[in-house]
Amino acid sequence: MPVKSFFLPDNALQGEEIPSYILWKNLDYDKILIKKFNCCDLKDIFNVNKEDYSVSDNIITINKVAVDGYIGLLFKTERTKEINIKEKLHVNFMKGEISICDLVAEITLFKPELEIIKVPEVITVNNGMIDNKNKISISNIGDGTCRIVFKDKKESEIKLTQPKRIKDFIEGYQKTFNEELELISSKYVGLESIFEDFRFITNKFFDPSDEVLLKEYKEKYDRLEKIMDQNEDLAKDILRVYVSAIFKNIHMITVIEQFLDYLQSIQKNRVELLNSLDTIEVNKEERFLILEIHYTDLLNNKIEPIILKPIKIKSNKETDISIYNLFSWDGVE
Amino acid sequence: MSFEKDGIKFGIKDIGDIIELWDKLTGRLKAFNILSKSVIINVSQGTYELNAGIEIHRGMLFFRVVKIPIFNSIKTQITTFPSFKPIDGSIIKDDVDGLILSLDNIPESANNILLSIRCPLPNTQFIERLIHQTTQTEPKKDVTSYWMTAQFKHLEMLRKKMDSLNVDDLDFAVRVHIQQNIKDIIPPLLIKQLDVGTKLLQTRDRVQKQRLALDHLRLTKSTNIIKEDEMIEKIQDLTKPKNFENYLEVLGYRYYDCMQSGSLFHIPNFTIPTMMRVVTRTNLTLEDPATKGELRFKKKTFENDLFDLFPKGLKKKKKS
Repeated sequence: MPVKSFFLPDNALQGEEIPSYILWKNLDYDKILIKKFNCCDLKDIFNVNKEDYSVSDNIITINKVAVDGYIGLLFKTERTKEINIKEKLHVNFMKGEISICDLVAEITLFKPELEIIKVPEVITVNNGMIDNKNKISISNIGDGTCRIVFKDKKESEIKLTQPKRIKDFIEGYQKTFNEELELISSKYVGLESIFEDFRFITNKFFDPSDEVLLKEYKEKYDRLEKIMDQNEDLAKDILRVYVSAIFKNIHMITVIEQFLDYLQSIQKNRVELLNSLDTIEVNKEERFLILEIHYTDLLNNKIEPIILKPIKIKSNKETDISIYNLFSWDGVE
Repeated sequence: MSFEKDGIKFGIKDIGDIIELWDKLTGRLKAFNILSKSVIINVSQGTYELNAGIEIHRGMLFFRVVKIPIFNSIKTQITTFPSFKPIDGSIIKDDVDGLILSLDNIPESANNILLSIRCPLPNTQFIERLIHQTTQTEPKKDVTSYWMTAQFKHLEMLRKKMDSLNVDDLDFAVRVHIQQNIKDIIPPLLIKQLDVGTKLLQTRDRVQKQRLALDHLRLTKSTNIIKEDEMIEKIQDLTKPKNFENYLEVLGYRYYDCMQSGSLFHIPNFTIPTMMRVVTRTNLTLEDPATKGELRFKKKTFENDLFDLFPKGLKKKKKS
């Protein structure tokens, strides 16, 4: 077989960089034509000099590779309107007008997508409990993970608050993390900006509703992930700082409470709730709650938020209920 | 490290600089005929090694001592070729000149030698400039494997200037998300029990406390899980790297390590990891300039083992 390997991933998140390559031996060709898929741009091409290729519409024409036997490609995909798209990458090795070797590979590009199934007009709370049939029903109908933050709208009568013990825990955690980070930073000369990024990510709450912050978060997070992947010692030191910051503040929040948050913060079909323990205060007086659902995917792509219509909430007694209690993620009405 | 270029010392920032260093060395080694030039980059050790096979021209008396301006070598060695006997004292470190290779210390009988100089890799961007690496962020819902690739960005200069280039132990970190798998197996009654238990600890209302205590007792009887923290520990055990390794299979690349990991986006969590950071490794050579690997998470086996932790009768439907 003249073609030793042709690689294109069979699935990837929309917005992800898609690598591809072809390795071959003993092929008598004078041109390579690559028909790329619609929803992507060629970001980089390896082992081909600038003057030796051109891109027109969806066709990449390669007149010469620098060293015969290898082409590397990198595509940048965008988040599209479709939840799943199947695309094909065609490669033809040409000799004159004849294709002497045809290659085809297929990829599915997916994304998460929230669908509102039901928003009740009234939610009744009985002794702190809400009947499942009375909950807001939302489902992730896409394939990737949705990372969600709930926010109250300015006009909402009922406000979302972070419980004091969680707030204290996070503040304590951040303080210890910063102190411990300072201690290890002297070991990593030249990585000062990386430590700045760690401080930023630890001390700022991730908020998909703030586009500027999201962009900054994405850049810093990508940089941190990359450096931790490349530097094993740093990755292990950061993990130690993280664990130490948690354990020094463990008295503020119990193991069971943490485990409960762990369970409540992931819902059916890859729905990750980032502030699942935030609460609303309800009482006998009927009041409106207007919720905004801000979300993003694992690549932190900007996605339009969902604003729910106002919901009347009444309770038989005054109590605090966690926000996750208002929702059902099963996809049923 | 630094070396001279037009009388100015500058640092190695990418493979192009190593190539220039080779050229520089070739110029200096005029008394020798360089038979082969190779570079071995070991990413995990953070080093690169220049290896030159050299034929000695004894007649050229003017070049018996060669100064090599490499100042940060970790290890240097000259061996006879092809018998690979080390020749002690033939290359020494010098504060002013870097390395000094002296022909006087090489036995007359050695016509061919192998010169090897190992140096630390200058910075983390070095590899990034040379190789493009990708790992999948997350797979589709029905897929439980993650793809990884590595490919050289430029080959032409490397092939022209070197006989061989090996990049060893290139690391790939894949984040295997496990929170959903754990959540899907935990019996809803246990979640309810934990919820009621937490509320019981937090409430100050006496009536509420009594009601919650009764609820908690009833739920404990139903689940038959009296020690909730012990159950949490059992789940934690499954995610300990030594145990979690059993749920991984690596194709194409080599498994290296895994550790518990969490999301920086969420309230810090110390109980159970939301994801596992799995490190795999591969090598690249000029002959194989691109590679692909696959990390498979044996999701069903993991879920079944987790499922078996819970008392009979409490379990959700077993995954087939």
